Amino acid sequence: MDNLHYLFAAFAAVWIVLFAYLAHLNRRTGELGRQLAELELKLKNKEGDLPDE
Amino acid sequence: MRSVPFSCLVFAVMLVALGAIFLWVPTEKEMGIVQRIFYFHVPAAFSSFLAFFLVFVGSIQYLRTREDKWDRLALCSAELGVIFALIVLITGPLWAKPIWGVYWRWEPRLTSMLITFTIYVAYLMVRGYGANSAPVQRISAVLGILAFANVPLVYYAVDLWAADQQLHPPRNVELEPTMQYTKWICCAAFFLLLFRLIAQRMELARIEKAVALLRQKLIDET
Repeated sequence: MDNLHYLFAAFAAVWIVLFAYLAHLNRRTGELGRQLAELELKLKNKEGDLPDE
Repeated sequence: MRSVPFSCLVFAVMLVALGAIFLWVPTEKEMGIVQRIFYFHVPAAFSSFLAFFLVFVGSIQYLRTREDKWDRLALCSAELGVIFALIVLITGPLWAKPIWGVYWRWEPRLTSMLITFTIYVAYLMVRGYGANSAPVQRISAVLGILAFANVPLVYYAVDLWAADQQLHPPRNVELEPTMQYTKWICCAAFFLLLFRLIAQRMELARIEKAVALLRQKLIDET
């Protein structure tokens, strides 16, 4: 059991790296959501500018 | 790929792998409990090799067809390959310290793995600077093909260099059956996780591209 801390550190490292990557993906997804909302707003504004037929 | 059932499968196999590592497989006599690092160090290495192979395939197919989906496969696989290679490069030294007495030695497999990792980080940096422009996609595809030459070098490093320079064991070490099964269960868990993450990342890349095109279209129209 002497080297249990090395096993713990390696195991923790795997999870930390994977969770950091998932957090990065999550942040990018959030950014994409904001961009989509912005584009929707621009589209709405553009449709509002069009003359009634 | 149906994402929820596949994610459940990944989760289930990962639980089985955890059970096998910590509850089923016997402790190795010489190295003791720290040898269990093997069950995520080696599968992470195989997963990074598989991801780099997908970069190679995606790059060739992109150069042949110029279809964006192949470029996306190469880019997303490179990202995941780097993540799994990073896991290898962190868990390796943590296993090496109690066994070899040092965290790092410039021995063939460690050095070739570090070089491979650096090359794929460079690939991602090239992509980062050039976004999705066609010239950058082409240059990246060439880099993705050439970079793959390093992967067999890493795998066969223990055979290619003299035995007195090696710290890693030979490739054909006989494992006790329980250890062998655990290794393959862990490989299955890591491969499934890799495929799940690549699918997720590719979907994100596809939406990013669609949003960028829509934005460009709106700019052009105004």
